[in-house]
Amino acid sequence: MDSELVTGSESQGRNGADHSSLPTSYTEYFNQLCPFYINAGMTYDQFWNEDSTMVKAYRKAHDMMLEEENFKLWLQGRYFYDALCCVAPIFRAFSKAKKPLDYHDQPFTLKTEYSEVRKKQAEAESDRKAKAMLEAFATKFNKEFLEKKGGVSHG
Amino acid sequence: MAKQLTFSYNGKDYTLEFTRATIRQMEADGFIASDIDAKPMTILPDLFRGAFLAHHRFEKRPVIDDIYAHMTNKPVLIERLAEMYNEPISSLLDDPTEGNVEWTPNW
Repeated sequence: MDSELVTGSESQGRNGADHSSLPTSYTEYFNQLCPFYINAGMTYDQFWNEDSTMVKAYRKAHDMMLEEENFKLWLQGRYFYDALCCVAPIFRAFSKAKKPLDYHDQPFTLKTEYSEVRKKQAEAESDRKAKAMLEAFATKFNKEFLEKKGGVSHG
Repeated sequence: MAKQLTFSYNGKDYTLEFTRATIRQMEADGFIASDIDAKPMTILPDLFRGAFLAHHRFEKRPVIDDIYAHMTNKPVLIERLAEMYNEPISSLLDDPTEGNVEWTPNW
């Protein structure tokens, strides 16, 4: 209930609001932030006339979008790096290797819900194989042990 | 969902709410929330009137003033209106994620 509500803070808001030069009325503050939310995907009408709490969802979505964008750029960098590593041998002047290495057959496996299921399936399969090998080893060992024991007792 | 205040008066349903546009209009019309301590008798009815702008823009002032006069439990009403008025700006501010300070009111 104060038209000079948010004075005194020197921090820079995450949504681009510069709190060091704070507006003196709500209207000024709204005017200052309106372009940020329009950039985040809100319409002018949504910002000014509709549910005032809608901005929270848009702000969160904007953050998620930035993180996703950042991840995509990083991933692209990884692909570029691998591609360069693959062709690097043919650019070495005195190298005997004249053929580039094979690039990935498949894209990287991303940590998605689907990949998590696949990972669990692969782990279960691996566990099953390990268990079968252990059982086979145990059976073989027991058999040899019994044979040896039998040999000793008969000898 | 934005905070709203609903009631019926003379068989008509009313929904009071503040949007950024209605706050902008109120401020353009001279409403200064910080005047509440100096001029409560003017500011509080103005605040009440402003809450009609979002959904009942064309409601006549005498009707609104009459409704205000008949509203019960005014201290709580004013408190709620103030919360509603602050919501369009508070929703724009980030909650701190670390170093939060716990606070307790004394009323």
